[in-house]
Amino acid sequence: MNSIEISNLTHCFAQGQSGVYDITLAIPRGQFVVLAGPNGSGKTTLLRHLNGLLLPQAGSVRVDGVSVADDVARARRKVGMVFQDADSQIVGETVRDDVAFGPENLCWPRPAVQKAVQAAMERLGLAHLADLSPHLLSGGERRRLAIAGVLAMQPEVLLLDEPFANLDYPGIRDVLQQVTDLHRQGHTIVLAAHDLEKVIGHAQRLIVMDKGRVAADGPPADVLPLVERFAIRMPCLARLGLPVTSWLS
Amino acid sequence: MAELSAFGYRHRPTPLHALDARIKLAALMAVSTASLAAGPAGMAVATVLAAAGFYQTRTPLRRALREVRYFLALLLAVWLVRGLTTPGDPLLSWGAVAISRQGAVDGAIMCWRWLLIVFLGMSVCAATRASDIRGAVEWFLRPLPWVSAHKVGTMIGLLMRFIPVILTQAGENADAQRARAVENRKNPIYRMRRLAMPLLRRTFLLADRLAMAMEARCYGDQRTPHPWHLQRNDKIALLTLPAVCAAMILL
Repeated sequence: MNSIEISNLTHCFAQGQSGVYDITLAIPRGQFVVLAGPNGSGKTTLLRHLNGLLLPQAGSVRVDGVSVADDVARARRKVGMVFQDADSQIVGETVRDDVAFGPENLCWPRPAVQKAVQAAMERLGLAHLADLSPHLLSGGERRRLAIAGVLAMQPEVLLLDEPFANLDYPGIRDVLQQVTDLHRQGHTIVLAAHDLEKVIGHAQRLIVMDKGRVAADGPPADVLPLVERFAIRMPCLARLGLPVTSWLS
Repeated sequence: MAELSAFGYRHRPTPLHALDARIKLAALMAVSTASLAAGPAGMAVATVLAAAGFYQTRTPLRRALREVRYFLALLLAVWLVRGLTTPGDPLLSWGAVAISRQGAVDGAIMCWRWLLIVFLGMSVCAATRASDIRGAVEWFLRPLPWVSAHKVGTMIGLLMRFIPVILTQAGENADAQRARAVENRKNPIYRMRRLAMPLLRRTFLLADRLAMAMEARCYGDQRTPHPWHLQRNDKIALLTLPAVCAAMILL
């Protein structure tokens, strides 16, 4: 069964910003998809359609068979989005408050909010930081907090827009570990990245975007040889003809 | 990373921390208002109360005074102006200029009052979670039909969250400009303009991204209400508060 179905999606912007053109995709439940492309290729625009932050000008996006345009609130509840800049996503004055922001917006009863918040903080290893100001967290911790804030709303699909941007090596491994754990627990993952090296070892599918269109789509082993045509750097091991390994191993 | 204020919330197991935020906010408003009508004896009562509250925050006095150093300078200026402009017996004089005894006393009481209110406010901030303050403000505003308590609460929350972020960005911008020798430009308006424009641009971009991120997390007019539980100590504080205010005014 498909979690997300996109058919003939088109969205263009007035001031020459990158849009998306005639995209048709289906993402099965539980798949780990890497969406690759250079800056301005339309990755973020596509992700924002899956969460209802943008609505199609033409075509449609369906989450679990229901059109996003028909029920935006449902789409946002089912599809959680982690933004590239964690600082602009974190709204709570403490870690606990921030994780509670989503469930409170869904008007869950207080005990359910507390339970979801505690579970999300424990899953992301943030429980001991619950009363700290987000401003005092490290880059990796802030990225994990952004993920926890989305996870507390118990989405089925997680969209991650450049989750490794501005992180050091331990921070990248930390976030990657969390993302792979979430995938193992059954979440559908769609991760946008322009650098494949860090994540491709875990992906089941690689979609390459170029100038707002899907340029290549398939298993990573099939698509990787093509990526340098679209201004994406091929991982070192793939360049040497070796199988790509995980950054976690 | 910007260092947070000495009066940022730090969890401690004290009665002040455990008190309901609505009671703390009500006490702050009531004692501040009563201090306007209080004489020296009433102010002494309030000062004892404020000192007890401040002690419970475990904030070092030296650090607290450092935080309010500019405010203390303002108070000194107010005291001087009051002393110089109030007619009365001269206490200190330099030729035609004199500080009157009455002005010095009036100015001192006025400064005492302001300092009391500031320290009470900062103690409440240090002993209360920002989310509880936000919830309390929403609770107080809820009966007013022309104010959206929920939106005001959200704005207070965002303000508390983003002040350190904006301060950090201002620091980064200032460092970047110092690295390009901005200090060689003596015109303060030029320097301020060069600092303010990129900072405003970054702040507006941040606000734009924030609005989108809030939308992605289903922000709307309805939310789970803040949990309030009045305990025994809250009820005692609520009953004691009018007596303290009356003592401040009548003594």
